[in-house]
Amino acid sequence: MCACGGKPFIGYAILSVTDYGVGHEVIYPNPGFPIYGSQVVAQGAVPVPLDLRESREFNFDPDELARKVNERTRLLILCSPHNPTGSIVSRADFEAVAEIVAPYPDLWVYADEVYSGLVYDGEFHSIAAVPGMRERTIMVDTASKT
Amino acid sequence: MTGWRIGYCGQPGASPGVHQVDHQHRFLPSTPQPVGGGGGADRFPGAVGEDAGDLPPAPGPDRGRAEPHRRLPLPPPGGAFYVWPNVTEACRMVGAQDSEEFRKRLLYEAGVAVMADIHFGTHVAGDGEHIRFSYASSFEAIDQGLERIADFMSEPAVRGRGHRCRAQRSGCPLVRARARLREWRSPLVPRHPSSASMRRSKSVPPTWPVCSTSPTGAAPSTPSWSRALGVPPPQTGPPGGRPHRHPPGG
Repeated sequence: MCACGGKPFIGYAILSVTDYGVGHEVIYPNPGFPIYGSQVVAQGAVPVPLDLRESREFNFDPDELARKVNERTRLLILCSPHNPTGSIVSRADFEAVAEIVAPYPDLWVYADEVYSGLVYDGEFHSIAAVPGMRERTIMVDTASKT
Repeated sequence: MTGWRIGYCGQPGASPGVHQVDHQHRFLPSTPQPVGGGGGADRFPGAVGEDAGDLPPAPGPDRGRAEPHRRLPLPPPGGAFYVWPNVTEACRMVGAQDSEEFRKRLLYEAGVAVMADIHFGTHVAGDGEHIRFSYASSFEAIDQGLERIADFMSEPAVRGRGHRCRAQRSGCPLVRARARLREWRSPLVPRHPSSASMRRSKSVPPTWPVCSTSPTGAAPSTPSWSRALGVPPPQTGPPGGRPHRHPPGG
């Protein structure tokens, strides 16, 4: 699917995997692209921010993610490389995510990869490449962030 | 940044989840304009290689400009075109209450536009204050911005509200534009929201001068915007040149 930038897909994905007002939760990075939180609220879901820690080079703590995921979680938004911190998620952290979400078949992952073409010393990894994640990952990229 | 607003979404195997997204996309269309679509399609195969050259490969070389005194440590980003420095110490040095005040002072005193952490969510407990630099710009603009920030951070002891830094003294475009907007506003926008309605009512005296002469009888000076654009200033006096009234106290 193609649209005017990647932004519409944030709303579409939340709208697609959550039901309005029934308590479905969406986990998204904090700090993060402000549209994540606003669209979660607009679509009637429950926003659950996942803090990115400076001590982890502005990445999330998998243990903290594990504490936030539950039966009501319907979507996990991940952004790498990340706006606004410029951080990238390691393959090891993505594998940890795969283990955390595995017991929840209704949980989708929104992989915001719009900056995938701008990686410096590190290496870009997609969570869709982790075994078991391909079937539940919605990948988004753009032609403008180059 | 190519400027093309083209994004795409997909999933290997096209499972039910992506069909749901497709379903929403059909009923809530956000269709790329043909021109943008053509541009995106043309540019995408080589876009990364062509345009990444316009960006710094990493902000590493420039970090030296702000880091020597540890006033503004810049963590090297892994990707994207953003840097997310911790400005807790910088806020303390310049007397800013938080990152948002620091951001405003960078804008108005140094002429550098950044974003504060509160624009991207809530503060992370224990992590302090942050701002975001975007370096999706030319090397020249980045150098100039860093120079202004270094200047802004160089005199924290004497800096306070109202201090004029080099950006202001040298006529930063943002500061000039701000001053110009203030100048333009004055003859065009009523200072009080009810002024216009009060002027329409004959029973209520006007609350501001509505004539083309000042209370002292002297002709008002022509606004600079009028001189610059070569157009006459708007007629603020009453139609037909009727005698005017001034508010009590002039």
